[in-house]
Amino acid sequence: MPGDIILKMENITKRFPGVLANDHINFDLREGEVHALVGENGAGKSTLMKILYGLYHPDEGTIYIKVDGELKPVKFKNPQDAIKHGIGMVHQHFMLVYGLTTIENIILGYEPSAVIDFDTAKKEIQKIMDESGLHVPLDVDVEVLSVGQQQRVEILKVLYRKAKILILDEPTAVLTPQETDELFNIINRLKEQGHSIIFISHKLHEVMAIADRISVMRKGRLVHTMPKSEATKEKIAELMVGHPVLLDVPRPNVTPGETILEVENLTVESDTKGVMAVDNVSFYIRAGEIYGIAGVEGNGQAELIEAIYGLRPPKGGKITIKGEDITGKPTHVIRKKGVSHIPGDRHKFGVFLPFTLADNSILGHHREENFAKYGIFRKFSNIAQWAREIIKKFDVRTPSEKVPMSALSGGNQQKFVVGREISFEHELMIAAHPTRGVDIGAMEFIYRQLFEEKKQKKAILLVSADLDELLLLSDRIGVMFKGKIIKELDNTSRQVTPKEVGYYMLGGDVEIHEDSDIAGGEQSA
Amino acid sequence: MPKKKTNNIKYFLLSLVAPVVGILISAILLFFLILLIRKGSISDTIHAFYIMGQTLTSTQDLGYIIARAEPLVISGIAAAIAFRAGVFNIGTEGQYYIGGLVASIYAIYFSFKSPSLHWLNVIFVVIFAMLGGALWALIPAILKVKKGVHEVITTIMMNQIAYTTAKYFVNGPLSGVKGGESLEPKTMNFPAAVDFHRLYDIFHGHFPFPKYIPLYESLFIAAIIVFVAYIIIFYTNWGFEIEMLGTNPNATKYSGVPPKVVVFNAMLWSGAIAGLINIQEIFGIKGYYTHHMTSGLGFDGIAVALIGYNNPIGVVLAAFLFGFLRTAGYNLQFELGIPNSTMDLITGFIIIVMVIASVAMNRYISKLRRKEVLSEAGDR
Repeated sequence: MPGDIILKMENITKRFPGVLANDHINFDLREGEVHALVGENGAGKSTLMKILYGLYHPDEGTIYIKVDGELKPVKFKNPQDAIKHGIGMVHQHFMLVYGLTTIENIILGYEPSAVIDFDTAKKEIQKIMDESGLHVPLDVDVEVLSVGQQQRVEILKVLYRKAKILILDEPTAVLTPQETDELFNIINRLKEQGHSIIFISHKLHEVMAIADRISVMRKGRLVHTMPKSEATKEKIAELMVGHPVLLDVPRPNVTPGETILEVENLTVESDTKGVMAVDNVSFYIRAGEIYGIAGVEGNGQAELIEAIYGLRPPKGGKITIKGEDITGKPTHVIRKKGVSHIPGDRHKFGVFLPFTLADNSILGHHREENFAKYGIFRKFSNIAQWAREIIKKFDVRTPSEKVPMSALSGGNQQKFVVGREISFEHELMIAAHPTRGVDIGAMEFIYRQLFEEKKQKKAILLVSADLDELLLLSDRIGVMFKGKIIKELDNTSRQVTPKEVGYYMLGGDVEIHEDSDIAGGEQSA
Repeated sequence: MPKKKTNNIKYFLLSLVAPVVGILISAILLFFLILLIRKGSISDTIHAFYIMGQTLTSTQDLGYIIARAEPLVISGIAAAIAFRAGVFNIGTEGQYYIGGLVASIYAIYFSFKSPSLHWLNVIFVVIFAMLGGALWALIPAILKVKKGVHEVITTIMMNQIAYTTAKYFVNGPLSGVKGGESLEPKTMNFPAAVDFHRLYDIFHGHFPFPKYIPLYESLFIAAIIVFVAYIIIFYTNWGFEIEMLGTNPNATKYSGVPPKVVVFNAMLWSGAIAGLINIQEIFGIKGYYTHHMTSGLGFDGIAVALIGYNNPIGVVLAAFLFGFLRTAGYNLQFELGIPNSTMDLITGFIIIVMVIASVAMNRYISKLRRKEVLSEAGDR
């Protein structure tokens, strides 16, 4: 059970130009507890953790760490300092060196001797693995490990550096439900051994499942810390956004119309020659229908989208929009046929950060007569007008359409991208991770917009790593595993459970049948 | 909303801080350099700055500044077009050798001989110079688009080939050196109907234009290039797509603009314009072609594009700065014996200071903008 306080952050304040990222924050951590830190994007969680990890220096406030049974003020100049004081961070994006083996990755920077003594290192790591239950193959290239295994390597790295305090930054974002369960087992075991864990997450049910105490941050302030016994999901959500949020957006009742998108026996090659990322996939989406694609990332979802959107020529099969063959057509032609796309990685694919909102509002349609005379000479007033409409209709918070995209917050950028793609004439909307990295407020807004699309009788292909999102929005869910849709689940009355989807995400039949309610899912397909 | 207007002016002025800082710091450095060269004589140093100032007030010197800036303007725009697309065409050097060569072949063998058709000859010289430059950019462009070969490698190699090719034509098929007439290898002289007219000859009798100003018709060509480039870059979708590609190739692809097509076109247009870089010297000053013409104009153009923020107006200003520094440098050498290379040193220094200052300023500007947006968004 949680013991004495081993870490205390007192009155931590951090200002960035124009933003008060951390406003007099008091945070503490007891020995052997899981303290969850929740809050929307931009609430100041990562700033606080970066201060704790020595990446930022607080403008005000003090950090106390228990040294020899006594809390003493410390100052971290850099992460090495923090590591020395027993603080370890598992980043959301793994910091692994591909090409090196697991063991090499673990000891990197903390080798036992100048001439690396792998035997000693191995013994030590083996001991840590036995104690914690974190088992990974040590002598293989980390690149071949699954995402879950790579995360274990990250945790092992931290433990190898003798961390007592572990910061886990959204550790479940990349995991399947089953892998998440395993991670939770490991966390519990680490707790028993006296480690303390700061658990950062967006997902409230996970927080409820694993945390001993929960702190909620909002707009740079720590608004409330409570033991789990006092917390409910609704309460946390309310504290996070400041007003109650309808996490359960009502789904409009729409009778599906004609078939809009039809994919038949589609096969797409991956970046590696000869390896098929999408393997003989067939499905269709009707007007007014949301078709969700579930799956652990890297099972062909990205390539499937790229093939439909014309970015990657298929090796075989056929794609039609309203009966018209678009297989292998270039993107600009496919966009003209009525396909809109909200890309998964906004910064990489969706926007031009230095461009103004106006310039960002017409991408891919900039040659249309409305925006350019003869397709060449740009009509700036029409473009500005168009951008202003998107800003107004989709509640994008900005002083004007003339500011660069980079000046907007992530949620507003995403609202703009969603608004842009919805505003163009289209029949099919391909939405890839439409709410990735946005706060709950923006998330709800985007859900409502997608349902609005449904009401407008658009066909929507939704690819998401967020199971809750898929289950909430989709009418049917296709689960992708190793390039195939191995299961299609009927979700018209939201009857599919996360567990069911998770089962197929890991390959379905590959696993031992132990859960009897899976039969229900099979029936409905 | 007047507030926004003033803000935009504010950001524009802030973006000018870097060049001004670069020039000011360089001027200070120059002061100490001259002080060193003139063995600590303050009065000499002040006199040197006076001479530099005079360069700007003398009509003849101004003429030289413009004459030196003209090829750099073309070169800077050629480089800027590629840079805007994120393509590092450092082959403008070779492209102007070949552009000039192709245009010279036209002039020697195919041009109109009647003086009344001089204007047609000018147009064809421009067309062939552009074709030559584009041709020289074509090979790196194809290699980049088809095979992903990096353009820096290919264009720099093409520079070498261009020089050797020019040398071959000058000494071989086009050689105009008749026994003992001249030691300088050169082609046959162009027909008189091709030679670019001096501005003095054009304006003489219409308005008072000083006779000793070494400027030719090619100045109009440079002006047209600046104007057209400005329109294309800021007012057309061609420029917009180039900008898209240079900013974010992935998002460009996602918006349905094929990056390869844009790269290919940008490379070719950059080469085409580069073909025109030295027409002033070849068709105005010399009246024949030689591989011993002014070299390095392509590389100077890269620096000009850099200092001019790849903006046609900026390029013009930067080219004038270069022209001024060169001209002032000659005057300093002549009057005070200060080595001409001092100015090259200063030019390099301006570039370095400016690049550092502009990185810092850009960060500051984007922070300011973000702050402004956040505060206004919060007000609502």
